Amino acid sequence: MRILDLLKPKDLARVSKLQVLARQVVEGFCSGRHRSPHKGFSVEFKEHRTYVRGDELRNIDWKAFGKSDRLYIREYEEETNLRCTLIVDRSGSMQYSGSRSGELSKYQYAQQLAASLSYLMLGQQDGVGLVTFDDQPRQWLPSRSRPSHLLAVLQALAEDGSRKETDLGGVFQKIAPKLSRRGLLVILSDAMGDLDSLARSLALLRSARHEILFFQILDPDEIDFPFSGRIQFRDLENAVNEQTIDSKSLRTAYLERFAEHTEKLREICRRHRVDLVQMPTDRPFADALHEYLSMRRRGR
Amino acid sequence: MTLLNGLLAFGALAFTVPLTIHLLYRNRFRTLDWGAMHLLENVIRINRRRMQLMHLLLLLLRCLLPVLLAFCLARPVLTGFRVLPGDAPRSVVVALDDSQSMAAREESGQTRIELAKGAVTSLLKSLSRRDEVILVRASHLGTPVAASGAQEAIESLKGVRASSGPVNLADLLRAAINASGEAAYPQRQIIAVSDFASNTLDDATLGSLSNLAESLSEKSLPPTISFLNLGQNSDELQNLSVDTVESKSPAVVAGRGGGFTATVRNASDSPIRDVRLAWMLDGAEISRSTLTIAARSTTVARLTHRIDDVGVHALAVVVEHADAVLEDNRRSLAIDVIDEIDVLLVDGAPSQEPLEGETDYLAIALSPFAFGGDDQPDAVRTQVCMPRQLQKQMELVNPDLVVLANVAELSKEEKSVLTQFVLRGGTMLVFDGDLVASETYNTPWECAEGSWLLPARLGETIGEITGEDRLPQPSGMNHAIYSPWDMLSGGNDRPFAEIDVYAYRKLLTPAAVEAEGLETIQTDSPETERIDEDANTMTLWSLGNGDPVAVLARRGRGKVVQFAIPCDTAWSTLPLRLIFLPMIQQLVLDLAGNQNRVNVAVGDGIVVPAKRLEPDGEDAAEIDTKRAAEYRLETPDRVEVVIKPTEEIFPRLLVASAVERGLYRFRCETPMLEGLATQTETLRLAEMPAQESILRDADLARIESAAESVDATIYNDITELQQDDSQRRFGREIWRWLLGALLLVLVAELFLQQHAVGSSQRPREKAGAL
Repeated sequence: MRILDLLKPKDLARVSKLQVLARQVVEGFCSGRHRSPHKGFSVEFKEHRTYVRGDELRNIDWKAFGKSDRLYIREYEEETNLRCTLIVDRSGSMQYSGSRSGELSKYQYAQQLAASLSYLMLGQQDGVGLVTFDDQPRQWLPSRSRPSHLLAVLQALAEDGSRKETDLGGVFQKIAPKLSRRGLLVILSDAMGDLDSLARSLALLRSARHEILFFQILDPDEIDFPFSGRIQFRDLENAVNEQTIDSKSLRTAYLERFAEHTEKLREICRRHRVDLVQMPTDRPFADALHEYLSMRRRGR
Repeated sequence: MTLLNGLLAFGALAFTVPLTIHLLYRNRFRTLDWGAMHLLENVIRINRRRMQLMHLLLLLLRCLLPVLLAFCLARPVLTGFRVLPGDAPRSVVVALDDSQSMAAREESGQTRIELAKGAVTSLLKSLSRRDEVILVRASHLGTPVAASGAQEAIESLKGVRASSGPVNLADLLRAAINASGEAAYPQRQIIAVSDFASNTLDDATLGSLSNLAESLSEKSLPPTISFLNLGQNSDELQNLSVDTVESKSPAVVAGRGGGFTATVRNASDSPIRDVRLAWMLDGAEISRSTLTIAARSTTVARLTHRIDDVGVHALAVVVEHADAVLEDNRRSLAIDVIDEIDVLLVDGAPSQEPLEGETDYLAIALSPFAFGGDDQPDAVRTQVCMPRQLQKQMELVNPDLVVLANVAELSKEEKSVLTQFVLRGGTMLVFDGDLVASETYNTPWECAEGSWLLPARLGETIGEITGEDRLPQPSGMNHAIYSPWDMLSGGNDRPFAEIDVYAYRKLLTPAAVEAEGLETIQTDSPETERIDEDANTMTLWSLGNGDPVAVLARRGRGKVVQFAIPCDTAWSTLPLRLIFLPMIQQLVLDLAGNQNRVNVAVGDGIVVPAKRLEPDGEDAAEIDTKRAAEYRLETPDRVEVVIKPTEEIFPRLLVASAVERGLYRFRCETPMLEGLATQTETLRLAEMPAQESILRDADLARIESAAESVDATIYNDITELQQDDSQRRFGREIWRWLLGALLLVLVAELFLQQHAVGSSQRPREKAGAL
């Protein structure tokens, strides 16, 4: 997949106008709103210090040297940015694409959404990291705020999905220790897995004071189960698992089960103060993102 | 069980269609790579058994649909219910009550007779070509019936009207059973269609039905009897009717005013105000008034009118009111207006002194206006003669009535003349007296045409005929059975109490003769026919000890009245009392003026003496006796037919049964000399008995009792009857049940499809977004 496939100019233009607002105090979550307590090299001057060996010559304040005949180094205040980690599900269940989503699979939808968020955040000089996973973490990119980091993120995203099962809980437990600094975790998954395990993992992540935003990517077919007639359902995560049924006769039961599953996920997110956004793939993801961010701006 | 349309049952094989579709469907599916198997697997595991069961049930229902439809169309019949051979031709006797009560209009706007005709037509249309139908109408019970096909019977039904008089259910059923005896097929069915009004099922009818049931039980193949009851809400019908029209005078004399009354009954629950009542004479209105009649009550309208023309006239009373039975809003009365009555008084003790003659008081009483010099015409014209002039005067006067007053003896010839006079319709009054020789009167009165005895045998004289201190006999009473004397009472129960009877002749009626064991009187000439066999002697007035003072009996076509006292003041004070004049007037008018029965009830016979239609007076001499007169009858429905008189000494014109209500006009065209002909006419009126206007249903218990006695089944609807009939003949059809089952299965299939198996609705919001 090429990078240009992931980021369409129109989407990038729309997404770049948005600002991500953090609900809680997260270090550097909003660029320009908070001054970082960390020092660094930036445009804002902080103080002079005496030159020591090893300092870069370009940082010497030659004007001060001309006045005082001493070597001083200019120190600037560093604008530390939001450290966001995008956690993208690339398991088999994410490979489903229904007719109403324009042949766009849930994984492809997640790729585009993650790319948009990356571009948005890096444009704001926030740090963006990436984790892709199925039953194991597969890609790991630490959070960086350099614009050049976008390419790395997009390259990692551009890899094809797998046909393996999802293990949300297991994966999150594995990546939790590696997320040493608190930040924003954006999970893009269909949450088709063990929710109890997920709940435990979310609790772990929240205990590390991470802000978590959960985009539940769903295909419209999974929401309303529009099928009729006899269909052989073949599991995308396990090819040998097939079920031939009269789809119409099971529709009601499926919808009840789906509603139950969704409600349970919603309850878990509410309990752990995780923002859950259900994203059907037939809606332009940028619209959905805009709607969510607007809501956050209004409410929080 | 049999199938009426057996071939259609093969349509049940269409059950293979859903079965095949199901099997094909099982092997045809598309494959879908599915992501949310996590959820689906769980659902499948839980619902697999239920789904299998539902699919099996759905398959069963779908297979059942064509099977039920095919059997429904094949019309299966449970033959276990069959009691009669189904395919055999049968004879259906329809006993139709076409009495006037069937003209009652139901709330639907249709009359009962129309409903009955519709029901019977519906029944007849369901018969096969081989079946025969016999239609028995209540109005034509006496006429022979003929079998016909169903279509002909339907045509006959169209002309049926509700015009018959009261119907006795037993008579109707008897006629129907007799008709069924002449039926061609052994399988016979009688359907009695009636409103079962209260008058059709009185106690006598129930008794009659029991007898009928006995005769039915003796039949080897008794017919199946069904009652179709079309009158079930008579109490709710509102009706106004003219129940009676009566003349207050025993006879109406031309040129003299007569009193008439009409009784109008309101059978509704609300009063009827300002209803217009019109009196019409021969079709022309003569008087009009308005009436207000309280609920459930009657009122009497009165009319005094003078009719100048001799002959039979039709006086009708019409009330203008829209109600259930329009036919009874009009009622007519035929009035035989007579000319003066000629009375021949035979005075057995004439006298030149005023009021000393035997008949002086009587002559005054009979012609009071002439006696008083009044201009008004008297109803009676009297002629007095002595006994020896009797024969000559009989020829000259041609009297309507002859009075023998204290006539001592009569010769054989004189008796023969009087005998013939009575037999031919004359009336004779016999007053007793001291000169009367009882042997003359007690011996048979004979002539060539027959013989008869007086109503009562003359016995001994009782009481003191003369003497100043004689005592009157205990006063008696008049007998209410003689209606012309009703007016004498005037509220007094004993109008004759004021009359002192000092002496009287013991009159021995036939009952008294038999009671006392006296010897019966034999006729001298055995070849003459005794004409008093069926005539009962009626006592008109009796004393306190029970001895009759006046008796009456019919002899031949005439009447004889005997008084035990004279008509002068010798034995009683009768002529001196005020009651004498009206008493004699009423008696004479009744005896001489009402000989012709001009009013009959619908269904009764009509008899008109042919002589009455012959020209009289001067025209009588001009009759061409060589040519026979032609008689015609015009019925109420304006149909004129030639009618032949009976071949008797006194020819009569007969109508066996006046089926239609209304005027029957008898016309006679008598050939005269010189080739001319003269036409005369007289009327007779057939009127409906008032009970037909009483719309009251018979008790249900009574109808059930009647049905039980003849083993009949009661139906209120022709459809029920047809269903039962069909069941009896073929068995019970169950296609309706199957149709019901089919609908149930359809509904169940739809329900299962929509709710149990799966719905095509998309409850997006139920699984919707956050």
